[in-house]
Amino acid sequence: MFSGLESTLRGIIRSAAPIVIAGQGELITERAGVINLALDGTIMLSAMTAHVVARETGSLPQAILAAMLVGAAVVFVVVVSSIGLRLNQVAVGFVLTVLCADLAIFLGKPHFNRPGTEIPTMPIPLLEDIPFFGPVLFRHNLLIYFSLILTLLVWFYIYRTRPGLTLRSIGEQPEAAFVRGTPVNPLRYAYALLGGALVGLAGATYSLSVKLGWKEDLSGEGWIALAIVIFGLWVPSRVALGAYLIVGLRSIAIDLQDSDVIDLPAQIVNMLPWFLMILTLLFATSGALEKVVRFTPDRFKPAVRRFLRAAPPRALGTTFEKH
Amino acid sequence: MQSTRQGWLWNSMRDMLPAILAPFAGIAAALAIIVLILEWQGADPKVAWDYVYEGTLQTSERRADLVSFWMPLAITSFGLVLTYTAGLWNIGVEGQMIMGAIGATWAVRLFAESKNAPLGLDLGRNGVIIMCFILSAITGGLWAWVAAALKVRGKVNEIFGGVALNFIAQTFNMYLVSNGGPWQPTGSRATETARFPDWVRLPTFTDYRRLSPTIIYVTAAAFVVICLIMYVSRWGLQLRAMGKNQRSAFLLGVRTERNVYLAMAGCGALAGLAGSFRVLAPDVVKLSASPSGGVGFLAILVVLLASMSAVLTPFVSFVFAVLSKGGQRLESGFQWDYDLTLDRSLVRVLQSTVVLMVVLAFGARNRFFPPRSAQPVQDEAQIDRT
Amino acid sequence: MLVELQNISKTFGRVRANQDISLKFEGGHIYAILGENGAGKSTLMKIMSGYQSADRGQIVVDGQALDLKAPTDAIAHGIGMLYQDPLDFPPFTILENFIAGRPGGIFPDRAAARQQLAAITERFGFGLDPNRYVDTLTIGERQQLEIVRLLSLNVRVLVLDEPTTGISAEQKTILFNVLKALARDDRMAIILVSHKLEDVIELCDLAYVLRRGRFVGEKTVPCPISELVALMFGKVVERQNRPNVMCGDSVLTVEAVRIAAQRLTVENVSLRVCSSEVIGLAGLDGSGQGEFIRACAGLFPPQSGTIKLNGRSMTRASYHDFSQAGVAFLPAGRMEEGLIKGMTLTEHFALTQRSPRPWINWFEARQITAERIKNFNVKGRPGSPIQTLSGGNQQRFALSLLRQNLKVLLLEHPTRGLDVESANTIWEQLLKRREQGTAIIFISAELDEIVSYSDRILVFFGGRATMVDDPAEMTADRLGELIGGRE
Repeated sequence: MFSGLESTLRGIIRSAAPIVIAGQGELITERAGVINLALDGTIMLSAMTAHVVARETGSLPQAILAAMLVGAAVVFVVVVSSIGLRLNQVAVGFVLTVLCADLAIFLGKPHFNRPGTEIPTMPIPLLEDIPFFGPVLFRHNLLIYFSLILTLLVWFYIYRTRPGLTLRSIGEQPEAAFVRGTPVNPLRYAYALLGGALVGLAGATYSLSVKLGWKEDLSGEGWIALAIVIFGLWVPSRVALGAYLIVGLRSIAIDLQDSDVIDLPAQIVNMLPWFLMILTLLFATSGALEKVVRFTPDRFKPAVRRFLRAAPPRALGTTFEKH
Repeated sequence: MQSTRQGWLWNSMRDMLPAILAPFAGIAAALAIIVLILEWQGADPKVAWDYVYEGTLQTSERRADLVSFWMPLAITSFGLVLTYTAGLWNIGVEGQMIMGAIGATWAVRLFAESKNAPLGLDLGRNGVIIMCFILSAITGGLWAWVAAALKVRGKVNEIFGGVALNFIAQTFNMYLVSNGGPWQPTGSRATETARFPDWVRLPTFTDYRRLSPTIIYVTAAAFVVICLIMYVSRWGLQLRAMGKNQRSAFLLGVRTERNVYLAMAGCGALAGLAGSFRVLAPDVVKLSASPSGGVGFLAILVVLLASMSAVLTPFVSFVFAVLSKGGQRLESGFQWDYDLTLDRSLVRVLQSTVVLMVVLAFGARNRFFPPRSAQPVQDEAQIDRT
Repeated sequence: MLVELQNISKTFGRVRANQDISLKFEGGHIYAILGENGAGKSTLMKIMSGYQSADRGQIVVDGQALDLKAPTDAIAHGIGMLYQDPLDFPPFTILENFIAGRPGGIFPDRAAARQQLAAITERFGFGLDPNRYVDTLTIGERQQLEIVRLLSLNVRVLVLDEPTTGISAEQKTILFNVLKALARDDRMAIILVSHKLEDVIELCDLAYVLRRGRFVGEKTVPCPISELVALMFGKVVERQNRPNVMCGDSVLTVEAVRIAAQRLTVENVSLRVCSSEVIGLAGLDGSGQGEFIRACAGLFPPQSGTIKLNGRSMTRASYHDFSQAGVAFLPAGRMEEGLIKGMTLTEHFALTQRSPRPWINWFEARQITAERIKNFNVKGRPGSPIQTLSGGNQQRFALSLLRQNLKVLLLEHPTRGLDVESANTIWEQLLKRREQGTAIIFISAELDEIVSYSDRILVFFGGRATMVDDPAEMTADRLGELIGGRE
């Protein structure tokens, strides 16, 4: 039905969807200054939830909603314990990721390897008939379409709207945001929950669309999403780029593996996100960035700067208290 | 006179009670959640406990298997006590264990499997086993050293660095033993190395062929060393000071950067030893696809629950080992006797729920019942900051 | 516009930051709030700008009492504050910073904001390109941006907290012209919180002086600088005659060091200290004495120049090398950098003891700690957590931890926040160490302390230092002039 390249690209867009959604969700949470380290477990738990709810009720909207609620609930525990109880976000997030993963395996056991419900594909009329682009971009289901436009939405929201500016400001300098009349902690709750809900949606995308049904091999995907947020240095477009890059390489490696030529690429590709993440962090935190800017000719400085400038939200993982 | 005495009693009770009650409240809450889950699944909690007991403690064979699982968990927790006391979130412990397992396997290949022996040394059984331990401690320690260097030199948070190094270690391990990997026996499709030669296996008890006394000795020695470090040595006090206030510790003369390296490397070495226990265990004797089996993360939970106390870790890790091993019997017991599907992961849910609840309970205690005897005295020096 | 502060009081714990302060600010004038570190001026301004609430007293604007719950309430009533460290968002553009916190719909009207920004910047001659990122700006430009932002919010009273720290001379001129224009043409009330007497004399009409949380008087400016100093520091004791120390072997030799800090550069400072000498570092907060003393401790590597200890070069040495060589440093932030919250006195003692043995004899440690507690007059038990001690006891204990026979002892504000009696016991201990041959270098904001204990005084102003070694010159007038930047 599709030519080789078409089907490869189509597959990449499909399989990258959950990582894109989870990545953008985590990006929103972290931009508000909260680290949700429970990403990995949350994806498993919400994927399992979506699968089970879809099987039991037969209603896809309910399944998706349930998954999103699970995601929001997990991050709610993180935020309450950090803002409310002044606990370490990382400690709570870590315990939660282990807890959620095991809970998913336990609760999902009876539904393990049962056929999953799939979200129906909704080709977009007219557009689907465009040669090449039609099959690649316009013959998917709603969640995949959502993943395609989500990056644009997040980008538009945080860079082009006033609430988006406020979102960036509370993760960057909560003190300054407070002086400008921003209710820092309530907004942190809100955005953390929103991000968590998106992570839940990513889980639903796995079980209802990408890896139909509930399998335990989802473990690790959440950590990759976390790495991609860091690799993307908290910029929506770069996070999406990272997700498509990693998933693209992964699928190429799997193709090579199937052709039984060599196996090495698969392992290298699996290591790649982590090397990229460490290198990016090293680059961003060690001041190497400034050096690059300093050695560029004056004429290109603004352009280079604009391309390279990105750094972790400065208040990431801290709690804000009015003195 | 009497009223002031009572006031004193009341004050100390006010401080003590929440401190004593917090862990119990947390554990009780976690148990309540698990009992609810069991009831909901239609399983009797009492029966569930009986299965766990039966699967781990009832017979001496079971107890031997339990100890064989407990030792790597305990020794990893000892290592983590070092880093967590110093305020270092060594989440990379899982990868350090894997590297230790790889190091031990490497030692076997170098010194025991003749076709791979470039060194051609004949060390004998004990020599090879000692080399296994040494190499695993070195590889695990080096892997932690990398995370420490990323933190100190590159200012990369040890959590992000650790997660990345975990996955790199895991993938490297996969590369070694999976299809066509250099350590996979030719012609095999299983993702593991060949079983190690018979003559390099760890000595076992005569009655319990799956348990080796060697790992017990090594773990016990590690426990003694960690207790000495934490309670007697100057270095342990330095680590504690760093965990509480790294800047003050530095100005009081503690070489904080060097201690970050040392604590991480020490933890990595112990985790590496744990990795070697896992591959050298008499019923394993090979490097598999997942040599750590999640023991590293479990050890993090142990240390969080024991709130970094060196003397508590053996007990907490023992309880966690009982739960982990008991899960298998729990699952099969309900399956056979009651025809009830109850996955063994339930015990892991219990483990992390206990930790979460205890952590939350301590948070609530510090927030709502702060101990008054440890309240800072406010004076003018603090005005500048407010 | 008339803003009145009426009987403002604020306490933190047992310390009174503001006691019953009443001040009046009228539109069309430029006021100065003067006071040394810890005088309570920052607290007062934070109360006025809605950042903190007062325990007692009220703020009245044009006869109407205000209830300020947040900084935005104050801005709504026309009171805007420029914080010392600009509270802005460095990774954002100037335009985004300008828009953040402004009322408006979901989609900010960038064109209108750009226009408004341009209108105000043009009027004052600020060169702010709306597309530039704030982290590429100087502190002075960031201040300009904040002023523009506050003005666009129709602020009628502008409070500036130490605005001239870390900005260039040209930027200072521009800033002062702007402030004068705002007072003259727009009839705004400008309040300058500062301890820079130069600036106050140049710019202000009236100076209110605070000392130790109380309002102690006002002066119409211009007036002689010494009158302001007298108000700020209170009555300075006359220096008692005492024999000059014989400058024996020089222990510490600092030659022409240049230290580049974030806000200021310490230029070309030299100092030779001999054993048993006490050097006081005077100067208004942030004049370079802090960077200098930290450079002498090995905490702040100088860009150029040399530091020698007993003739051995230590210029690039680390803090630990310095302390090995007999230099000890006691920072001002006792609980932040000096001592460790949650650890007991015995644990502190054991931590700081140098010993070749890798283990600790806790029994012995406890015993010696108990001895030290007695000898150094610390009120506390060996097992008490350090944070339960009062400031004076913490400081005495911190001193008792230092080893004997130090070559050089560096102290930041050794008696800040302590009552007179505590301060005296601290100095008794310090002078005892001096008798053993230790050279002492200390920073203090109290001229009294500097004058009565120093053999020589190094006065810092704007990163440059002037040595006062003639006892006859150690008077409040002369030092006040040097501190204020008059040669």
